[in-house]
Amino acid sequence: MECILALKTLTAAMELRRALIAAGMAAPVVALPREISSQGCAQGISIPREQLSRAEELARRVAAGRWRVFCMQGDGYREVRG
Amino acid sequence: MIYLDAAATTLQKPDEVALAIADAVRTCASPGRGSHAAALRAAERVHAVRALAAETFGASTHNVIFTHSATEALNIAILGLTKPGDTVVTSSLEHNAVMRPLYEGRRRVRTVRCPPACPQTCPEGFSRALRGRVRLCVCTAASNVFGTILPVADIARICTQRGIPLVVDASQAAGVIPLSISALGAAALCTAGHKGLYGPQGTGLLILSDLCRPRPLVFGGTGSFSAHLSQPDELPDRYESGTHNVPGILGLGEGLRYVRKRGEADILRGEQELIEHLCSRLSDSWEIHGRGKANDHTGVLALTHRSLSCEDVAQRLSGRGIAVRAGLCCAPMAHRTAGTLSRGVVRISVSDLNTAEEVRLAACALEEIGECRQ
Repeated sequence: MECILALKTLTAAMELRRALIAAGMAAPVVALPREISSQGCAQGISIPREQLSRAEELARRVAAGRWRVFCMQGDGYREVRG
Repeated sequence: MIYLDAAATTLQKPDEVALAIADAVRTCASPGRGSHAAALRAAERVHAVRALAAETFGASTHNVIFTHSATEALNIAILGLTKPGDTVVTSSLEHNAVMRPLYEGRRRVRTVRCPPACPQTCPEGFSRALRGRVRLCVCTAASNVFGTILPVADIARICTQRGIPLVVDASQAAGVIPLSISALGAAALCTAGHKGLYGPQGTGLLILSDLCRPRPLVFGGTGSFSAHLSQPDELPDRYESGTHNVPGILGLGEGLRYVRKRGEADILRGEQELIEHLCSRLSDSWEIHGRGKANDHTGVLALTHRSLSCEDVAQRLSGRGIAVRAGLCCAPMAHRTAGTLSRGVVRISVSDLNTAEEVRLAACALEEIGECRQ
């Protein structure tokens, strides 16, 4: 687990997950670590770092609501795009 | 039993509905409450039903709210979009699920007379009533007593022109009349899940437009933003506090799939044919109420006997294994409009899963009862 696409609702996460799976990407929904959930995000989808650009492109296409991207850096997650 | 009370709830369901419910009870936990397999399974399946409902009613997925009934959906829409003293315009065929929230909430109600036998005249009445400081218009798409199909598209057009939000009660129309909230330009569409959509009891839908955000009626845990004491703004979470009725929702999903496979137009045509057949078999002992052209009605028929009370007729039918509804059917305004308030009616209502043979047997029973003097 390298990066997390974090969304505000489960519905938005499920919508995006469907699109990612349809595009052949594994898209497990994961429990958000406190450092992300405390920033106003409710659900997350784990994305391998190398597939992040493609996942974001799909997120834009399905308009799954606003999402934020957190990636593992050092000992915790840091927001890389929001 | 021959079940002819589909307007109350459809008793016969597609087999897949019960199977989905049983499977959900065994395998699905609570969506959004955990990332374990049982919660994720529930989340995925509930989302699939939400997406299907969104497609069916022309809405965005996040604007589909699962409720426990059409009544709950209507309460959220009506009480959440208005405040005491506001003027609300309704048709005269509304169910108490519309009228009681209005009266209990002390809204000023302006009612448009809609004769159940000639619904084409309604838009003219709405055009006159939707003037001045009207906060909201609430209109049923089909009467639960007389089956009258109201021209909601025309009424919606007037509301749009006047800038007045429209709430459509689709409880009797969903599953037999295609309704798209985006095509109508309505603010909200409310329906039961357990009637023409063939889901189980305890299910309902509130479909919102992108601009419609009523105040929630219920507050609580949503599985999201748990650190905040305030209710989330995001949909559908804002209106879905508490644990979802996952078995019910998944059963509703199978009902929705059945309707989409069969097609609303075919379902409606079949139901109209059954009712037409029944009408053609009724003797002079029976009076049919609020019925105009067959195409203007769903599969609902309201009738009275010349001398027997409605309750007596229903009891006699029940004794012959035939289930119908008798009385006012929770819609006193509709009865006042049709002149049946003092006696009520015997309401016979069919679904797509009734057969011509069942209706033939019911017609025979009515024929026998029709000959009775008291």
